[in-house]
Amino acid sequence: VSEKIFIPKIITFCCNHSAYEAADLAGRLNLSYPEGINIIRVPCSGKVDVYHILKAFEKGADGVLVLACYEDNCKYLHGNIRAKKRVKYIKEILEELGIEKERVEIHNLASNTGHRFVNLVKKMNSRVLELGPIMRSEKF
Amino acid sequence: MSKESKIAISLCNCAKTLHSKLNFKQIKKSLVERSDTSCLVKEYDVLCTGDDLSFLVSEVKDKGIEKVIIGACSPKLYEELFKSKLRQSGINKNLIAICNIREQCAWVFDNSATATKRALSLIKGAVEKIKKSQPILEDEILPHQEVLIIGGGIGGIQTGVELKKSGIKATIVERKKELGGNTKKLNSFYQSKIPPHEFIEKKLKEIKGEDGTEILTEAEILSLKGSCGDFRARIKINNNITEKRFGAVVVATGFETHFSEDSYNLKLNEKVITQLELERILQNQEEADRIFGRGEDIKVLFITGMTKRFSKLSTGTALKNSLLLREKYNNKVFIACRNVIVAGEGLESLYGKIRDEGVIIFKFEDKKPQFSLKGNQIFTLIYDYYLSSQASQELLNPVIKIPCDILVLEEELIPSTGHEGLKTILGIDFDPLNFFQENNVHYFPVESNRKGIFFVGSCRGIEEVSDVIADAKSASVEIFELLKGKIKFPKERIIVDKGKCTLCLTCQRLCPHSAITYTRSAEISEITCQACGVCVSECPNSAITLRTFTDEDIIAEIEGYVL
Repeated sequence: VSEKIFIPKIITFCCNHSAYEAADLAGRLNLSYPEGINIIRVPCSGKVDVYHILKAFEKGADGVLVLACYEDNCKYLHGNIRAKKRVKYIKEILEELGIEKERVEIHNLASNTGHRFVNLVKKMNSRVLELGPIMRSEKF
Repeated sequence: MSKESKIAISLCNCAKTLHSKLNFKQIKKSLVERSDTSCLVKEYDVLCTGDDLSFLVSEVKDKGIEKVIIGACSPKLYEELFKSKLRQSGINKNLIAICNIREQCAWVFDNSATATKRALSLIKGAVEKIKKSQPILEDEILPHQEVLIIGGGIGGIQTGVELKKSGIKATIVERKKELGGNTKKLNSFYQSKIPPHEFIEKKLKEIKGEDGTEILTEAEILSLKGSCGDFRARIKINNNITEKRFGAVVVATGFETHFSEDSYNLKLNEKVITQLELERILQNQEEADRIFGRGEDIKVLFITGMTKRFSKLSTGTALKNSLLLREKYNNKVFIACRNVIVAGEGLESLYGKIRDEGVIIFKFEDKKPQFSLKGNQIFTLIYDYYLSSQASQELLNPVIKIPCDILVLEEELIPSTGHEGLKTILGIDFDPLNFFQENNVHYFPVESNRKGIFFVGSCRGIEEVSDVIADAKSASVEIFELLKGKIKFPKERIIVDKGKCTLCLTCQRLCPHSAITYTRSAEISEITCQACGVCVSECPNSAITLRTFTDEDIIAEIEGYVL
């Protein structure tokens, strides 16, 4: 049986006003990041629901990263704080489900920080790489 | 079953620069092979230019295409252009998806195979998403051609002047007996030679007269309901309550001064005065002559920067008055400050001028000045910052002792009283310093988070008179833009399921734009809503749907990536 190289699939929810622009900037600076990073554009990090993140794991994502604006800097006032609380809640659910809680993370960044975006996704990628592929029910 | 709608996938190779990274042939081939949808795939050279775009528009029209996916540069760049052009051929805004195959694909991955694979997964995700998309129609209302201005200071008056120029009627609501605010208390401006009270009177003359601005003094706003274009305000004037309708609201409540003895450990008296008190004294010629008339014998010390927040306004006032005292009465003038802030208009040259006139400036940075009283004389001990850096080498004493006859202290500049009540009434937000929070400090400095409400002047942070006037001008331009025609807004972009809504009002508390009201169930004003989706994900009963970003859309996009 040939061992396939494990490329972690990480769903990255990017706030339209900061992280998405930071990802664009990373592209413009020709900074490369792992290929498993899949960017989903959301109007505000507060739009990311518990349902979306759990569904992403169900569909086979190995990690979920939520990138929000800095606190006090959200265009929609408290969207990023709501997202942070939600991610904390999801971590508890994941632990109950027997999934490592490190697979979901939230970070803050600004639209002019392309380097920070790349650092964050790289860090997440290496963390998920360490954890290995997510355990899925069909294996049992 | 409804028939599959035709989807056009237009790829842009950005003047052939993307050929080195993306294998367009392979992308096209694998997209066409997906037989489950009838896709029309085409490659363009420069889609953002007129020729290619109008070709796309005409082709969409001819072939009866209903949904369009564009694989090009970041949607942050040309999304609006594509959407407005494609509207000509009858494609709804919500039926267009843009895949970022340049910034987040071709420019990121070094390997051509990876980049191609990634572009494919991006487009696949978009196809999955767009299949489920429904068109969102537009609606429009005719706004009321009248503007409510809260606050009758320089900001409110100037906004009235500007609005009158553009032919919009305004109503100024002022809490006090007369208009003028803080500006009327000033003795002079440093930006111009006109006395402030004359300046105000000139402006007032402009707004009065036939179909001029309505001025309501000793009036208060009790409530504001409705949304942009159709606000309904209840105003209390001398115990009478009237209701009026307005198209837009301008908040120009300004600031107040507050002297806190704690920050100085000093009590105010004849010799220890605040900056505003000095302005009052200088307005009164006789009193000023009596106090400052003894030339070089009078030593005046201005202190700024000892309060929690200090601004260029107080630095400017200190510089202005020190120059006046120096020129008119030839007093000995000192300024002790934490930092000379000369970021305002004309402040840098004013600073140079007072240095030439012989005003001495000390900078104390973190160590605050101490005051001691000996007999009738106040001594101020200032720990000079620059001297202290050299003191150890040259055996200097960095502490400077100044005997002063008049001590002018800076007051704290705080938001006007009643701003907390106004915050609840208008549904707007505070910044960390309890001033009103702008929508975006850089891009939309005069807009609030609730559409149709604008800020002018110091209510959004301490400002100079020249900045206030600039604010008033830009706000009235924004209002003119808003009220000149019909206000367009999306129809049924956000839907509340009335059966599911249990009136927990989580959404109403969380909405950053105060767009949500309630009667039998939560109701969302579509003009005010800016589609951030915070209420959607917070609703415990999932009663709200944002049709531009539905749950299915996001799941479909995830599927496109992962599977």
